[in-house]
Amino acid sequence: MSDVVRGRFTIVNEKGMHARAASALARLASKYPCEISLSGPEEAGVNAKSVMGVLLLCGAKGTVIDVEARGDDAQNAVDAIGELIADRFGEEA
Amino acid sequence: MTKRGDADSGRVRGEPVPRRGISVRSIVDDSLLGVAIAVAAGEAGLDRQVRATRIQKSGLALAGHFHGIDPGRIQILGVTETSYLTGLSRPACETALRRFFERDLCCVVVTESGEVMGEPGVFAQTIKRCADEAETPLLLCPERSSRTIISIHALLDERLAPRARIHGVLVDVFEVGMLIHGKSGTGKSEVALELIMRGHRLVADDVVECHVRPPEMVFGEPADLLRHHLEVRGLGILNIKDLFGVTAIRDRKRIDVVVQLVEADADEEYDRLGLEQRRFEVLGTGIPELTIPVRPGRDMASILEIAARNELLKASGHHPAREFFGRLEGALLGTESDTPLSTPPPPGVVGGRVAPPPESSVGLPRGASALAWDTIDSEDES
Repeated sequence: MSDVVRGRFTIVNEKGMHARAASALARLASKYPCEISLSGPEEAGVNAKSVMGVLLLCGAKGTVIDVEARGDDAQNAVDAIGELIADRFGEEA
Repeated sequence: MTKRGDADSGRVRGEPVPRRGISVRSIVDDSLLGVAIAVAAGEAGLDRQVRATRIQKSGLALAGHFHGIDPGRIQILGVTETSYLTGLSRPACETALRRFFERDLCCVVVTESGEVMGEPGVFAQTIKRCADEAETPLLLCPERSSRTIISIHALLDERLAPRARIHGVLVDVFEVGMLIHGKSGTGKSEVALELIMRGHRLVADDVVECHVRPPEMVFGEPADLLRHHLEVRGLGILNIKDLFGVTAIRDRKRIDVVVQLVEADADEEYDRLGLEQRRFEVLGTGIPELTIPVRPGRDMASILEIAARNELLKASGHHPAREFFGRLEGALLGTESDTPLSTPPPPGVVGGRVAPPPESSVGLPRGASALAWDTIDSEDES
């Protein structure tokens, strides 16, 4: 239950973690039962399930984001977030 | 440097942050600092860190007694110190200052600097040279020491306060700072919106930056980027200030009570009496905590409004639940008493000071006795 899974991802899309991207991430994170927190260079420990929290990271292109998930399905959650980031939030080509 | 908080969790929140510091440069540039401070020498050291909220009057250190000198504290040279130094011969003054500056001090402030630093005397030259050599910022303040120290303390208290970040919504309900906490999707923001519609004020949504003022005050404010905004599922991000005006927002509020919203669970035991006094820990400071089950159709905003009213009652020395059970106890024991408030302190009090229980209703404001259902004092009614 208290397994902690960590992942480190770099924002690769041009616009960075803009509002739409942040909301996509928060929506994805909300599907998982585990607690997920994100840390960027300036902000640490924001809740991945809240759009406001994710927006606070101000993740521009090239920013490294640390994902930490704790609880059920943590591994899948971290993997899915990694995929979403690598996939440029499903937006740009 | 780094702010630590946690995500949506029910564990102990806000681990103590390692002792942070702020640079001398940021102090000098800070708009909150109420006095004018100029850098006179030692600019190379402006990134040195101040780590303590209290200053030191250097005093005996200038006479070579360095016991207790903490380099992380701002050193203040007031009239006492400067008069001592200006009274010394040139070599003695140089020795004293050199040995003082060798302590790797974060910075040195000379107060009432106009006179003593204005004329190019031995002291002014020497202290500047020593500061440059030691790369220790030398700051000048024209104000008296007392005023300078108050300003610096106020600023350092603010900037060095232990901080934590809590996931939740902070609202001001009847001047009671109420932190609504709970898992994602329990409807924190929706309740906050309903409270705002009833005329209460939003402080922060989602991310509450907390800082602790010892011994037991915790203040909350929004992250700058998110100020005045509230996210509601289905509507998106709302600007509360634009929608409701300045009376619907507040930039900072002391957190007086934490309300845990939990999904209603038949197995879970909730406080049915109001005697439990649980505490929500933020950086080692306990804040009274209520756990309120959420059920569809339950008017959460009303419940929270009542919770705030109840907190106000408690703050004014009334504890409705304890008074009620005091009377109940009196009735059971068959003793006639207006104020049988001998209830022992409630279980589950963890650390921290608990609001003193109302030992007696004597001295309570008028109208208080109206709550005592078994006593009707007709004289008091008039």
